[in-house]
Amino acid sequence: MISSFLGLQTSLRGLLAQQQALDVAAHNIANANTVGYTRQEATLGAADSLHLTAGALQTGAGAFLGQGVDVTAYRRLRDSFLDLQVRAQSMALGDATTSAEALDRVQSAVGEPSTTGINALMGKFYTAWSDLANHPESDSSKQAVASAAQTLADAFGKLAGDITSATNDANAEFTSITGATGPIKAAATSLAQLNKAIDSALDAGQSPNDLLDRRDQILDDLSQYGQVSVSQLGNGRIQVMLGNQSVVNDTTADWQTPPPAGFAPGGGQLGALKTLATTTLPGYLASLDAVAKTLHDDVNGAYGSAFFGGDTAATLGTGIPAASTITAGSGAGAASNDIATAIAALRDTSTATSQYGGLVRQIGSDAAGATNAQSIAQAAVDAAQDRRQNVSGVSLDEEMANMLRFQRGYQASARAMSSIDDMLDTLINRAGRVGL
Amino acid sequence: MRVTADMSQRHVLADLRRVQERLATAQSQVAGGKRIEKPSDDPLGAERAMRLNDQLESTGAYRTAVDESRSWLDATDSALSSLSEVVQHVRELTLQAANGSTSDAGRQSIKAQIDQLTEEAKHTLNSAYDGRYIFSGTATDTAPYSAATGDAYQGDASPVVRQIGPGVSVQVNVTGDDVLAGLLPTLRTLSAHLAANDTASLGTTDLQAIDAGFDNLTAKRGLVGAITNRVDAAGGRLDDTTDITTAFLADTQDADLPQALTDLSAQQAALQAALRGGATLIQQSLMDFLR
Repeated sequence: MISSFLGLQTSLRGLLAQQQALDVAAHNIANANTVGYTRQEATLGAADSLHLTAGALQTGAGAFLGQGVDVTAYRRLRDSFLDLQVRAQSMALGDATTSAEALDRVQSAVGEPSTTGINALMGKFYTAWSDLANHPESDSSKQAVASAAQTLADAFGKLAGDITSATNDANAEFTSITGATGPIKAAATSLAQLNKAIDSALDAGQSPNDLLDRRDQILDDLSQYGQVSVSQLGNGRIQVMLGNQSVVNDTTADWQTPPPAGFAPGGGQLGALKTLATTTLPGYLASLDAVAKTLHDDVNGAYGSAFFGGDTAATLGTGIPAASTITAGSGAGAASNDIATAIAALRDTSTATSQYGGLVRQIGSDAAGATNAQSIAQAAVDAAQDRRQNVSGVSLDEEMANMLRFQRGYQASARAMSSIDDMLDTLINRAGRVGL
Repeated sequence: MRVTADMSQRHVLADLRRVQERLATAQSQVAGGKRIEKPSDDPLGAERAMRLNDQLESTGAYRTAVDESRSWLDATDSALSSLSEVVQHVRELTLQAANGSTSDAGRQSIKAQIDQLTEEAKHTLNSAYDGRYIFSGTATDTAPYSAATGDAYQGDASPVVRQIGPGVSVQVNVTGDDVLAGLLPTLRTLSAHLAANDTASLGTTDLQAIDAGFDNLTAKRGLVGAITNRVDAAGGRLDDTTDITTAFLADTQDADLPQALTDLSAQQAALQAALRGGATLIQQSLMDFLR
């Protein structure tokens, strides 16, 4: 025998389920602009049926009588494969952006082609010697040579200083990102706490969807610094590696500050900083030093004694002779100009200028390459995020339609309940009152 | 594809950013007039522009040397031309003195004139250009002849050389010794013969020696003229090089202005379209239609 009130119970389930589904829609809408939020869905399923034993039906068979609806799960609509894509592209973007910014800074310091760069100053230096060759007797020409040499050496020193400080800044940024107060350490601490909270929630049979969102968001953020790899430890807990170093293992934040010497970030911002500080920028400085050495050797060779003191970009300016002691020629006559002529002729024979041109071209290509890589990576990140949003993003229109759906469902369940109520009213209040 | 509000907003922003980047590039090309503002704009072009700038600087320096050489040679030629007039005058006087109808007293007066002309010859070669004695070899701070040292040449024999092109050098000077080494003794001998009224020598050996000195002088002037021509030709070539290099440099680094202006307006139109499209797209929602 079926209870007279079964229908009321069924309608109530309907009311509650539609209400919960509506709550989820409201949660989605509220988080439509939350970074890293994954849209959720209340999965509805028919409630367990009432089993009617054999003989319940006229045929003598048993039956299952539906008892309405239940919310079976709160699903989190996320594809972890798309997360991997986003993180890989975000790592490439971090790498390219960092390189592009540093190289742009270097090429601004180079400041070519211009009338004030080292190239122009080298030309003016040779021209000063050629003017001295025309006026070997003139003190003002000697003064011009001394000051052109000093200006040129200063420009070499300035550029060497700029490259060195870019190198130092890259090292400092690397240290501050990986250090005890840096974002990776903070991420490690948060991840350890989240691992613990997710573990307890799952133990209690709950769906810690919003905790998972926060953890995925931290991993997304982490991926701009380097190669993030995640391994599952069971029950929602994870181990996270950045390059070849562990960031968090289960509930232990084991990111070491500072990271060990063998730390290889595997790409990203940290990879770019490491490459810049150890390879790219020191390479530029070495090339600039080579230009300075060529200039030093060629000019000193033609001058016959020390003109430029040091043979690196930073030290080129030391010991440039005072204007009064500069000699234009080896002969006794005041108009003897063979030395000045020989140095002026270096403009056509010395390779310093073309070496420097090669360095500028190298820096330019590297900067152009990094800028291109940056826009490609940006496009790839956008595309990967689109694919993820396609699955996980909140569409307000969709939620709006869902709200309508659940609202109507709720209204209909309520209507069903009131008609059962009417029915019971008839039974309880009106039945058995014949003749009253 | 499910298009979410976040997605369309991001797309609109990304599109706007791209258009605005292109607009900024077009704008800076129009404003700066340069196609290459930093090496990454065109690494090879930047290197070429630097090389061409070098070449302009170097051509300018050689051009300065050409002008300087030219002034030096002009000063030399002008001094030698004055000297020629002096020698011509000496020759006329010598002819007059050799003539039997000239009295002894007249010869003595001619001798006085010849002595003065000898001093004038030395004085002519003491001419300075830009504060430098141009007939003293490289000893440009020493006058080639001075009253104290008589007829002895005070300069040196070293050449004054100017570089007027890559690997091209010219000697721009003629030393006082080159010009007067033969002539001064001739004039002194002439003076002695005049004092002694030696008309026979005056008409023969002295006249021949003066002619030889004049020929030498003419040869030197010819040499100076030839060098001047060479320097002028080098200057012309340098001017040609400057023109070609300047044009090539403009091709390399200057923005194509009509093209840049067209780009600018195209990008402006694109920006407006993107803004209008974005504004329409972002505003619309199902909420506008449900009640």
